[in-house]
Amino acid sequence: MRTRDENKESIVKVKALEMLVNEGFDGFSMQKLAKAAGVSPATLYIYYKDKDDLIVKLGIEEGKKMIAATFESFSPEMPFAEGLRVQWYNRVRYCMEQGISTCFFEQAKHSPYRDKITASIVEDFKEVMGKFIQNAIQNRELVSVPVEVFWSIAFAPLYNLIRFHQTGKNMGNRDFSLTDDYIEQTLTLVIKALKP
Amino acid sequence: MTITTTQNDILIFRTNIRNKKDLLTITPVLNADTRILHWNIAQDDTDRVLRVKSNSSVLYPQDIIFLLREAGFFCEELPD
Repeated sequence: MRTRDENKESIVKVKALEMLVNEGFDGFSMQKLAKAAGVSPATLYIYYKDKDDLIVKLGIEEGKKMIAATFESFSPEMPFAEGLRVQWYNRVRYCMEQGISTCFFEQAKHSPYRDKITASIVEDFKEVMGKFIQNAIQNRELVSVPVEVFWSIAFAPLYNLIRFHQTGKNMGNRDFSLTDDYIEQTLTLVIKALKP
Repeated sequence: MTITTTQNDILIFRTNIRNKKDLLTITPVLNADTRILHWNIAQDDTDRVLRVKSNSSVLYPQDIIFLLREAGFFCEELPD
């Protein structure tokens, strides 16, 4: 009789994320994971069909967690500036606390697994963000621009600050650490830029 | 807290199913068994792991081992 142990399963997930981030998707194998997680390969194959299945399932699960974190205390009915502020701080917190998941996503985005992972999570995201943007445009708080332009102004500046923070250096190789002051200054300019 | 549930419907084997030709040989054999809901071979695994999901507890590891050996392949259950 085989058993499914949820403690073991969460150790497997943590180890898998670590290995995928540190060794890349190509260097990853179920045999190596089994060794690192201290379980038998048979146990891994109880949870997952194969390596591809594991990566896609992990991606979807982490994706759902990221969405939940991004939308914490957020509502699409919020005034635009307030809603954007809530999301900025949520996104910063997620990147700081879930560094390994963030790295995993960056890798997944540039891998053949991208489509399978995003197909299952993108709809949840689209619906809430779509409503938020629609409301903001109707209330004349936001210019109407293609969504790619919106994202490049609304969120890319934040992710750039986070990248500086994570490397610990700015573009000129000077030490950098992200503070609320930097976030607020940048956010104020972003909101100004997106006003009609 | 450890939550343990039984998982009787998934069987895991080490095989020597290596290539497309092997797969073509084994596909009709496994597809013909109505107790098997789904099966796949992890082809990137050195053990060429065969994973079988069945719809009942009447499918035993020996049944799969028998099917594969009859078809000329090596097959043994992967220990837990």
